[in-house]
Amino acid sequence: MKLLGCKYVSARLSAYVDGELSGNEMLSVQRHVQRCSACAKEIEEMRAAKRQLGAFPDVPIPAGLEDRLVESVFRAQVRQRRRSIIAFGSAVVALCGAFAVVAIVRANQEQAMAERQRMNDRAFEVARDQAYMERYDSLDGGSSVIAASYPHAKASR
Amino acid sequence: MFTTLTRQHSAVQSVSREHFESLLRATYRQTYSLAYRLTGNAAEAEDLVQETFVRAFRFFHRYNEGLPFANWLYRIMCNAHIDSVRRKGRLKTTSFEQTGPNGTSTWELPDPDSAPDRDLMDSSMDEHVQESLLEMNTEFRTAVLLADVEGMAYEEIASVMGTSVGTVRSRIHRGRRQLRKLLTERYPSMFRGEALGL
Repeated sequence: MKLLGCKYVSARLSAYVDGELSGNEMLSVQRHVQRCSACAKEIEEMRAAKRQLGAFPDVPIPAGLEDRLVESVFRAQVRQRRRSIIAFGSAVVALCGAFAVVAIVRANQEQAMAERQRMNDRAFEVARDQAYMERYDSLDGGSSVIAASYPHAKASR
Repeated sequence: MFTTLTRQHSAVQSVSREHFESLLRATYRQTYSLAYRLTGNAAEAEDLVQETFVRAFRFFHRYNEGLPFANWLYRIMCNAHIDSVRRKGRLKTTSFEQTGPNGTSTWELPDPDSAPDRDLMDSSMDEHVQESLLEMNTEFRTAVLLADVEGMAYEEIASVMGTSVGTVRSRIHRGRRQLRKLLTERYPSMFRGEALGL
């Protein structure tokens, strides 16, 4: 038979048994339990479970456990540190490798640029010579082709 | 500069290491006991404790000295246990394992003040309780062990389990109920009388 308040009380029974309720709550539960056999029985079940667990004997500790634990904790830490050192070292090597690649590519680019510059100069010289030749070949005074000149040189007539 | 940094780092490291080691030596027994009750056998208990201390050392820089070390450690262990159960599925319900890890059967000398002459009835009751514990929901088992074996207050349990006091209350209540149900269903002659105070 369920009395009014069983739901409220039921949620608080374990806390009641463990002394984890406030004073007022404890009184409410106590008053209810005096009238309600279902909740009173439930309290007994809680107490029995608590008693059974509390009656457990001490757990036997395996011999040598202490040293095994110390060893495994610090072995794991050494392994972790070794792994970090390897990771760090690899990162350094990778970085150096990256720099080397960049340097090589840059050198190639500079070489290509120099080559292009030379080709441009040659093309310029050829054009200038051609212009010069045209000027001196014509019989009618020649078209006044102004000889091309290097940008920094004086223009010749 | 690099060598100076590593030397300083090592100096700090060795102080933490010493400190951690002394904390380990002071708490490993109680930690192992809880691990044993959680897992039901010595081999798994040792694995759990080892995992717990390894994790604890890795995160030792995050330990706040204001809190008791054991509580912080238990929190790590409860999480490790939940992870392990999730990975392996249900715990194997072996009965009280008498041998230690690696098949050895050596134990530290027991405390002479603890009852050396527990009779057969008592020890089989303990076995039944332990077996029933392993059948329980993991959170319920953890909550009742922390309350009734470790004797922790609800607030402490809440901080260990990373939950609210209300949830702790509920887990303890349902856990005890589940334990009683398992015991009285399987061993009615042994346990029913107990509840009635006979």
